Amino acid sequence: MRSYIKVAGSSVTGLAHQAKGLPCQDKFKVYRAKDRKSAGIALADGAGSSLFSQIGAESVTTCVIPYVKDNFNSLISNPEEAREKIVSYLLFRLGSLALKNKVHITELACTLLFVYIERTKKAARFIAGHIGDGVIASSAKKEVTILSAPTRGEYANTTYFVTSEGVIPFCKIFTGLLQLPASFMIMSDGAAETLFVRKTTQINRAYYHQMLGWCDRYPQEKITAALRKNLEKGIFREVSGDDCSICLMKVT
Amino acid sequence: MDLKSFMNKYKIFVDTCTFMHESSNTFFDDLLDALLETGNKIIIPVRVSDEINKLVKSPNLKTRTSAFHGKMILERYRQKDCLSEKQDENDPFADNVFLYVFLKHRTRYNLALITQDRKLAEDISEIKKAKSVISSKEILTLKLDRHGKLVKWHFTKDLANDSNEEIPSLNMVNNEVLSNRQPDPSFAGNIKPQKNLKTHAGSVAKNISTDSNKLKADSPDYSSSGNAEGEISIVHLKNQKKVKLIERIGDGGEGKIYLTETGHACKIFKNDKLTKERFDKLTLMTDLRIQIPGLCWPLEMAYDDEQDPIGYIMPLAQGQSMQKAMFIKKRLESNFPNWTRRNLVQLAITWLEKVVELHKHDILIGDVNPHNFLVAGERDIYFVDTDSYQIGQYPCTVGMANFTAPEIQNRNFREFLRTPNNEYFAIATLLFMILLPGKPPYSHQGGGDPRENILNGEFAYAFGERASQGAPAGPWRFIWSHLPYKVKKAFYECFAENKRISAADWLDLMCGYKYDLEHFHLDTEGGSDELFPKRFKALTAHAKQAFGISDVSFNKKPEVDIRDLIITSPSNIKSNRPKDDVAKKKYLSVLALYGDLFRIKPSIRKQGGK
Amino acid sequence: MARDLQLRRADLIENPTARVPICLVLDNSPSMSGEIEMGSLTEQTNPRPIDELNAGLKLFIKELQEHEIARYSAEVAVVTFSSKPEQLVDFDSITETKLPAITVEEVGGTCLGTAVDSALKLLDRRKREYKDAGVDYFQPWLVIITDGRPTDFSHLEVAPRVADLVRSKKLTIFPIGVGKGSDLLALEMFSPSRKPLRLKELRFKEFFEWLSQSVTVVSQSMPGEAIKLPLDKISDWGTLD
Repeated sequence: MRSYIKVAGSSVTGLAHQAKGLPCQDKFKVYRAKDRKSAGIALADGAGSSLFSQIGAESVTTCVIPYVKDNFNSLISNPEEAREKIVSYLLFRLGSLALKNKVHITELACTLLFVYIERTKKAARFIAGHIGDGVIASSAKKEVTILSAPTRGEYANTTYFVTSEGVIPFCKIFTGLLQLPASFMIMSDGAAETLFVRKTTQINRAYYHQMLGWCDRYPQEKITAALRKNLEKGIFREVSGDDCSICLMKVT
Repeated sequence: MDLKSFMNKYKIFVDTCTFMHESSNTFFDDLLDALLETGNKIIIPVRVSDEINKLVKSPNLKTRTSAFHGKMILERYRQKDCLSEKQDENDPFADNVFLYVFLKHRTRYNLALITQDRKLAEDISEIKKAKSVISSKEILTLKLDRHGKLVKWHFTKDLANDSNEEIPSLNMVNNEVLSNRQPDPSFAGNIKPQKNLKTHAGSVAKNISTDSNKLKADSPDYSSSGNAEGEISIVHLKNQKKVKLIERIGDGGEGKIYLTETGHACKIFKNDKLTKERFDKLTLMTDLRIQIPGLCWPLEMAYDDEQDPIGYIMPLAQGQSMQKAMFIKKRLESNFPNWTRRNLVQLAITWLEKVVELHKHDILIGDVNPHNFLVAGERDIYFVDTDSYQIGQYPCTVGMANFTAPEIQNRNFREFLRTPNNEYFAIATLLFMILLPGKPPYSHQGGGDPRENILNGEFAYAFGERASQGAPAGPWRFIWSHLPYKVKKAFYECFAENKRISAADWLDLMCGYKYDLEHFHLDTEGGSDELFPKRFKALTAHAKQAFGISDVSFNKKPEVDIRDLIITSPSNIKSNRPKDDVAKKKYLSVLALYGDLFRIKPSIRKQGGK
Repeated sequence: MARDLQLRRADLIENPTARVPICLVLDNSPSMSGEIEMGSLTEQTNPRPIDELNAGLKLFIKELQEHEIARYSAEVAVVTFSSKPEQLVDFDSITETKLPAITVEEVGGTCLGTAVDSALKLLDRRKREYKDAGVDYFQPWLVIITDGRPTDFSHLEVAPRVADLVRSKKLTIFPIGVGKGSDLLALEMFSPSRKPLRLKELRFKEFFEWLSQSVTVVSQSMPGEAIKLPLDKISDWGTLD
């Protein structure tokens, strides 16, 4: 099989939000470099309590991947420091956004999941980050695993946000080297209700393989369309009224 | 109790704590004398003397003293050659080797355990209570009381539950007889038959209570009950006895089944189905007094008003056929919601115990199939359609393709007598279907004919060097991988190489399997105790330690690379192979459980890599 | 959307029971509306064949859904055909099957062969899915119900293929003709061992009742075992011509 790097993502408003006339509070971005040597996916779920959260979500997803790309080597060499740098940068961006919109920064609260990858011929270096709920799953060779499970907050049904106080210890950063083929999937907690089994902290392998299998056979546009169709109608709707978003990335 | 007759009757095992009992000296003196007179020995696992040797060095003075006394007793017994020290191959993990040994040998010997440990004694007693076989062998649990006297263990439950079971004789016109079985307290959350049915929340109660009076209501041949006009209502037995038939509970190709006023079942054959040959076979069966709980064996012939034979009386069965109750995944899960794999294995053990007992009487089942065994619980199985069994010169005239050994596949069952070896194939097949619920071993993935696969020995499950070929997709390959190596080997050799083991050998294997599950020797995290595991079996940390393999696995901490689980290649094992005996034994027993995970790669390496 | 792009619930994994796949190939050409042209008059039979067919089908699905064993085994697909075939219902667990009412085509022919071919494709795809999931399946059933003559020659190519499958025990076929206008000879080409039957009057309900009973018998056996269908009951609904 020819080597490739593919990214795709989709997001649908939850039926519960639709009923209340709320917009979708999940935002996502997928990136692929022109030289096809790097790519990134990012997803953020705006805190339900705030109307401005989707602006926050839009902002973090837009700026996290470029930042990580520009600072990749220094970030990957020191994960502890990377955590601080990334969170500070995001807070800086959110801060100026808050000023502009004349709101408190906490109104822009959102979760964040991202993965950025740079490839060589046989391997890929990656950095992934996770604040809050939602799930990052990945696969290297044939073994599928949960890279990062949802983080629960202090109280039931709460979680951490980028803007939460003292968030840094609850921000997870993963760095490493993967043998190809490798893939990642990030999803908001709405989608995780279908794809993730909480009790065993395992991802539904069948679905994971099926979706990542699309990357072998179809171009990015088709995969994106398929993702959207499946989110709009079918197994996700049956399970959750929440906003559902998924991004996937595969490198071979 | 007379010590001498005691030791002649029982194999006596003694636990560590009894040796360390403070007033034990008198007892052990008496015991030693009796042993010397009768030429017997007491048995202890090596672990017991190891433990005592360890406790002699205890920081606690009292413990040290007791241990020292115990050690002296052991020495004395050794000197006089009255001590047998057993090293079982399962010793390395022996949290409790007594349980294993007692389970394994209870149908062969009378066993007695002297222990001060109440929990252990209770566990051992439970084995005795699980009356899936009335064997003539007994299990006794004893202890030394405060004064050092040997007494039996009593548990308060015993007083309420004095089981004195026998197949009820027909003289009892008594509705209590309807419950042939006492509730088994060892069930631990599983269904309790009869009295407790109404209070049990699970849906299994619904199934069992509606089915408890319908002996054959589930098999496709039989429709439901009622009593039509003109149906027989009284049958005659020998000696002028008469039995009233209460209602019809089954209806099939050969005849109808009725519930009698005595709580038995009565099969009445259709017009010309009761041939002379059949009558002779039934006479032979009724003359043979077999007592295996759950076996619905012909007890007496039944006659009509003109003294012509029309059928026979047998014990009443309960439950639903294995096919219906267990071989559909959703039904298995709803009938037995609390079951894990060890319950399945216990079911296999219960079934095998009865089969072994039948074989001892030179009776072969012949038509082994899941419609002929009714399941009411893991220790509660009923064997029905027993009049088709092979006994003496009378063959079993029916059979099912899936269970028929290759060498007798195309033959007419009426024309020959089956051999035990034929039967072992059927037994292995049904065992396979119990452990991989509902999956026949030769099931062709093409929806076609298993007959051909049986004849060609095409068994699809991987074993040993064939690991690369893989098992059929779906949950089956995971279940297969979690079976202990020994069990896989037995199945593989039977289905791919036509080398079969006997029912008694299977029973040993299943007891070992259950023991392994209960002591977490298999990969519990990976799902070894699940009915439908979701992953392949992997080496547990425990096993890795025994092998001395370094533990590299998915690291849960962030900031670290993802790595695969590493399966060590044989060359690694060899260099780590332990030198001393104990470690070596550990190594071998782990190999017995996980041997199949070590794939043998061809020696390409010798030619140098790229 | 291509089938592999659709995420479906993994029923084959959750429920590994051996399956009985049944494909119904049903004629919905204009004649099934029961309108008989007599010169300039059109007479309407009452009840209409299509209504009886729909009623029978509904009963069929319902009985299977409610049977305690068959509900885990049976899988039904429906292909309707007039001038061209339409895959109305695809294979899935019977408990999920939603059957739309079949309507009669205004105009059209009877493309028997093409329809059967379409059904075979459905069956093949499902068999592959069974194989991938390690699920056993019994010999699939193909039920063809038509009330007219084929209006093209497609059956000449398809029928021998089907006959081969039946002979090699890879398929069981029930060809049924409805009404006096049905061409049993064409149906006979598909079925080397079983002669096509003619439905008595419009006894669809009786036929589907018999069919659901037969399916439940199969679902209670094991793959590879000989199955005894209630053949004596066929006279309730069908005759051999």
